[in-house]
Amino acid sequence: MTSVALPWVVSAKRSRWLLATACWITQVARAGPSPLAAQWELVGSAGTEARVFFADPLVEAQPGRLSTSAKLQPELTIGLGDDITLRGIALARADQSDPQRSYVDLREALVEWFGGRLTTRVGINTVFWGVTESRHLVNIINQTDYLDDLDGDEKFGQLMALGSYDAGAFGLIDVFVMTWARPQTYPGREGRPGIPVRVLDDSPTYESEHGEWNVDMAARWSSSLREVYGALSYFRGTARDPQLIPGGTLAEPTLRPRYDLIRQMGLELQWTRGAWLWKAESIVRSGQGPTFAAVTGGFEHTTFGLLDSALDLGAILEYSYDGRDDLTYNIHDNDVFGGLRLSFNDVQGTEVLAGLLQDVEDDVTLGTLEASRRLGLSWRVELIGRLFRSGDDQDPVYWFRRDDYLQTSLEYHF
Amino acid sequence: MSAQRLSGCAIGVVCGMLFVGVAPSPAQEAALAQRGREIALEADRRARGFGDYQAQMEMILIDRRGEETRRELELFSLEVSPDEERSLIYFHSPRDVRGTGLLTYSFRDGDEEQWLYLPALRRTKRIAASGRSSPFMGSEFAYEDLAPMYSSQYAYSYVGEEELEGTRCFVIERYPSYEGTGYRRQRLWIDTEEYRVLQVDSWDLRDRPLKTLTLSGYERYADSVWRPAEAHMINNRTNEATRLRWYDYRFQTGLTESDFSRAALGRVR
Repeated sequence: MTSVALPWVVSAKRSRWLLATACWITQVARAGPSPLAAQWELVGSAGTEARVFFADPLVEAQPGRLSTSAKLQPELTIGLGDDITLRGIALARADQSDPQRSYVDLREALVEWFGGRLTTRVGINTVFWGVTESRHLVNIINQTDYLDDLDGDEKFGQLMALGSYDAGAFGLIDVFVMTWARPQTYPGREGRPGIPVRVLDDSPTYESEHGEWNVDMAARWSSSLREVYGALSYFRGTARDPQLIPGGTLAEPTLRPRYDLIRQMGLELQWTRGAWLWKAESIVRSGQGPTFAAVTGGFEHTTFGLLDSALDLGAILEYSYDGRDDLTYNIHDNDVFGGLRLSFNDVQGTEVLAGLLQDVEDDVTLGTLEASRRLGLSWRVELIGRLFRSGDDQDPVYWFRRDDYLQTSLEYHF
Repeated sequence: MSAQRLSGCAIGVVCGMLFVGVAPSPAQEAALAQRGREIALEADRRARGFGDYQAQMEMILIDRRGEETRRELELFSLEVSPDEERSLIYFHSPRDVRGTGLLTYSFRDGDEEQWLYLPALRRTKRIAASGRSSPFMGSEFAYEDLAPMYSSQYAYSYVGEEELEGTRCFVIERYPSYEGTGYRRQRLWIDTEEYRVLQVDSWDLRDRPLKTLTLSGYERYADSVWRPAEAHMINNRTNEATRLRWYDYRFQTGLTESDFSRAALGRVR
């Protein structure tokens, strides 16, 4: 279930095959649910994407100006009676140029038992913590899959037992026991955007004597009272974001990930007042060098029915500070994010999000554009643009300075 | 009975003439407002008391060329207290938003709390509920069209009585006072026997006719509440329409507050 690099490269022909498979699966899915078996449903998506880069690559091994990829994500749900559900989600991706980006992963494989106020989930699961938009500071349970998408929203499944207790007006209490921490994966040197230094992500080191099998614990209390929402969380275990320790030779330098045992307190706050959402997240972490604190906070304001139309326009402004000494792998040390979100509220569900992250001190800018629209009933077309600007060769964004790209993807949902 | 109806009709016509022709005195105005509010309250009272229910809903978007787009939703609703109602809407299609859930806590004072569950990110987001005039899922229904019948954030006025396709109706107007509304006024036709809303005409903020909603196929459930089988909203300006069809209504299925918590939004379905 760890990421398996596929030894083949997908051609246009193969991606057509992938779509054909998806269509076939759809036909099978239409046949169910069968009255004989438990109630089940097979759904999911299949898609292709093409990235166009604005400049030639930094390294010759990287793809030129065009890179394509295909992805299949089936999702199977089986209901056993009213209270027990099984769910599995797999992801298969094949990339034209980066073998690291060709992999199969089990995103979710879990049993959920619903018992009134107490819901228990056991298996590989994904959870989300947090309120802010530009950075997900407190969201620590799952490892981020930057290979799937650089925005950090894609997550690897985490093996866990999770008990969620609904204490009514007091709020929700979640208790996690986890093991098998998933390592961070990095684009290969053949990938684009890519890291020119070899990262030894297959042989990381762990502070825990049990390595990736250390037992990690977490708990979270979240509550809302009318306009105010808040959550407090605590995590003790294997860090999800490793320190990268330089090594290798002068001719071939390497970076080896090191996973420390950390303790982290997290705080989330949101105040919802009319069209204003005021948001803040903060962490204090120890065990990864000196104890440090980090915070992200700001607002999102929505103008509904812009200029007498159906359009909603959201304006997002957030500030991030990170007190970590080692800033090499931390791009949010002292940054301001400004973004605009346009919801067309049309039949096709057209949405556009554009944003800029600007470092206050250093010459580092990240730009992002995400626009999507439904085609017919089952297709969705998406346009993603990413911009990397850095005048500082010590900053990780500097690696991507020639990797500005526009990506179009077409997804079929079955 | 029919004589009574006739006299009621006559009174209604007279009242209507009064309302249109002569500016009412402040005392008359207060009386009309009081009467309008009483009718709205009674309609609201009769629509409540169901405990909990769930239903399937089909939404058909009809563009001006008559082409239709269908989507499937599932509804859950619970009366927590006389002052609070919770509802959960799940999207089954279009498929790219399948599993998306919208959880709404509506309070009698007109306040709303709204949570949106995005299945792709496993993220539950508290969203601004002030977008009352925003279209719901790209349809002709705005969020405010789906709100409960009575709220202290409306001013009311009694217009009269009228025959609507053979059914005797109270006609009242209401004037939203909450932030973000798209309506200056709405005129409601409510049948005099069971207080069911049969038609709602809405005027935009500049008092131009905007939408017409008709509700039909009412059936009685759980020995008390009436629910429509169909709602048809026409946008008079764009000539686009949306038809909502409810089916498989089930009342008092034993839903509890836990089924309407933030945690329930992320439950596997």
